[in-house]
Amino acid sequence: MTDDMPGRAAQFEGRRGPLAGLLLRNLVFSILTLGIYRFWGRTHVRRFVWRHTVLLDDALEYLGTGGELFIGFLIAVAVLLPVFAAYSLLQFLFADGPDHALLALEILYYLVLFFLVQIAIHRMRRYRLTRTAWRGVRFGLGGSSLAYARIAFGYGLLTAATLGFAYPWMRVATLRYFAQHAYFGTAGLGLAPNPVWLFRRWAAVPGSFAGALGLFAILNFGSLQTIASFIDQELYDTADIVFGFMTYWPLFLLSASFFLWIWYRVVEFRHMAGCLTVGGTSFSSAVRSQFVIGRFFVFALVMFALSALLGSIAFFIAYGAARAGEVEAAVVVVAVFIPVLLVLLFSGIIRILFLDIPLLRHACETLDISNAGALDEVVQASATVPSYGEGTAEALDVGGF
Amino acid sequence: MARYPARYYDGLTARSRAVEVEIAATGLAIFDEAGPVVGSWPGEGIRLVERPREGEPVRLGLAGTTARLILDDPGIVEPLRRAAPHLLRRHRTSRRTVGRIALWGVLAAASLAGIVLVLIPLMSAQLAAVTPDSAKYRLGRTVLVHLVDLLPGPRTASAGRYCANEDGLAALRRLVERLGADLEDRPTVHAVVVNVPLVNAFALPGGIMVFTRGLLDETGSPEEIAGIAAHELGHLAHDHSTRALYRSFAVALLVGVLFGDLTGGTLAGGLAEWLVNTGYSREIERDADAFALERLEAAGIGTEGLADFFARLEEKHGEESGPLFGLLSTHPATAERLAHIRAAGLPGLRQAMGDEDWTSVRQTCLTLQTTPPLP
Repeated sequence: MTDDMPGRAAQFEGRRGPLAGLLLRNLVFSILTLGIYRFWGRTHVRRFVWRHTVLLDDALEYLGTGGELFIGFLIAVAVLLPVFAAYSLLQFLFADGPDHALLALEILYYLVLFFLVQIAIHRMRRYRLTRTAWRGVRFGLGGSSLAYARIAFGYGLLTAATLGFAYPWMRVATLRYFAQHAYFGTAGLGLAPNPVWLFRRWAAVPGSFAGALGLFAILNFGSLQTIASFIDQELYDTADIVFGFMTYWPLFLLSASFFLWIWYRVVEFRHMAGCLTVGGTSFSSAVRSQFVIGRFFVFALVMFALSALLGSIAFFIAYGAARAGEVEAAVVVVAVFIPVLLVLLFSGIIRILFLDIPLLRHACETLDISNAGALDEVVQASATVPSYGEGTAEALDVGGF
Repeated sequence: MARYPARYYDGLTARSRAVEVEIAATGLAIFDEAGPVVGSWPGEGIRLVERPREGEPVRLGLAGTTARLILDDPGIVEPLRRAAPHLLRRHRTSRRTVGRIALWGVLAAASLAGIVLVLIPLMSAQLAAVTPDSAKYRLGRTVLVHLVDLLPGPRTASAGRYCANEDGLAALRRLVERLGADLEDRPTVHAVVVNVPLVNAFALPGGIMVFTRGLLDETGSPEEIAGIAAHELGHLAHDHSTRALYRSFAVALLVGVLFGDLTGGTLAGGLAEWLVNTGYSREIERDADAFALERLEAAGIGTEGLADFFARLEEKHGEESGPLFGLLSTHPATAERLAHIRAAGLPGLRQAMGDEDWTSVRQTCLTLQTTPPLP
């Protein structure tokens, strides 16, 4: 820590301008190369983000290369393609079969996919940690992705079975496994969170969700009964009419669940940071949920402004064409289609610039590190590192940039 | 010799050391602030970790290690270039990488074109050929039910969406039978009429030939129906719809893998998928048209009915059939098809069906039912 910035253990020094340029260049090159460039583009973005993330006056360094990511992706495709193909083929064969066979297939497929995603998460973390160095010392992650996936899978089933209430236990179990096997040089990470403490905060999220739905059901009890009886008599049209007379405002309370969910994630982040140790060094975070929610609003606002701008351009083109009367329908379709495509293409960039980066900056600025001197004693580990990238995660689209 | 103050990480421990570095003929000499030498880096191995930017410290690395020197004074870069010939190596290779990516991009595009244009049509045809007829029929039936659910039209529980007047259906069956009479392997055809206002006809796997009520209302003569039925029979005889199902499955898989993660990939992927499928189906429609002309001639019905139908379509939707619309639509432009049919210009020798049958066909939708009238 320098004297002129007391209490600032970490900061993010990157500016959005150069990053925006980098992201735009990546988008153009990715399109021109049918998506192949994205591995190199992503590496540039990570190098930028890592380099500007400064802990105790020293920046992180990203050591990965685009080639590693590309090879990892090719391997993942070779592994995943047969899984997708088998599922689609089975779905095809069962198309006419009994509904419950199709449902069973669907459930089985999503269970397999969930398991694969968990394997991918562990491998992705391993790749990123082994490609991250600070003060010339690498991070690393041991353990087995299969063991990690088994833990996540078991607790995932438990969470589903308890309608989401067991979620904090899943988070604690998976993150603890991760921390137990992660290291910086030869210093291990330690994490001892309290799931019961987290549960007391988490319960508000599924609780508010169930509450909103319950209130909706209670207020519309009569209507729902009427609809059920009409459906029994196969009077679908009459049933449709009843829908118009129901009380819908309780469903707006569901948005409260969303904000509570963000609030919980912030609380959880603070708790986890407070429970984390690296060697003899410990951390504390003061991330504020108002800030995070505010940033979500800014992100939504920017997306809305962009959509409105492009949407109105599309509208005026279509309107002008309709007035002129002689322009083909296809031109109008294209005029509407292109703005939608642009919004989707830019949404990833906007998300990084207006949500991910501000949140990262805030997380850095509110981080405090105690007993940082212990980190001086850390020695480089001689563990092996994987030779290719996080392909499975890439192919399954997990993780951020 | 100038000395530059720096922070030094030896790549073995995370300890930060304040040092001074001096450029020597063979590389860099690193001195502890107190005086003694703590390390020396050979010039061959010295690299800039990243291109130095305004206001950011210069970061030097030793190739093959994670040892780092961090200097606040960017003035070291120029004099160091003489002692460290590979100082900027990363940038030079990255330019080569761009070239390599361009090469791979071209190769990827070429192999993609090969897959899309050759492999997928070939494999879907092979797969369709080995799929048992019973499986195709079950598949077609399932698709029919889903499709009819999606089509606009009356949707009350009491109003069935399948037209079931037995005389009308029998007349259609007789017509189709006549069109396929002297074919070597005649496909089994199940004619279905659905009660939707849309003007359309389509063929589904397993020999299911679907006409809409809108189409029956729109046609002016039995010969027009015969022309359309002959076109759909072409789709069935060549098993186009089974192949199309396999093909769109393969294309979806390919596009999903390729664009899966490109920002906003879903839509870009959808666009690519649509373009590819459009290209395929225009070819297929021309095939079916050619088949229809041949069948109409063999049955002695002639091609005037089909030409009349397209002429009416063109008159009605003429404004949509400009050149661009032709490119975007899955069917070839109506005008183009009409010209083709007129060029064939085969006169009719016999009626497509008797007046009584024709009346029955027009009245197929007087009886409705909720399930498809299929075995």
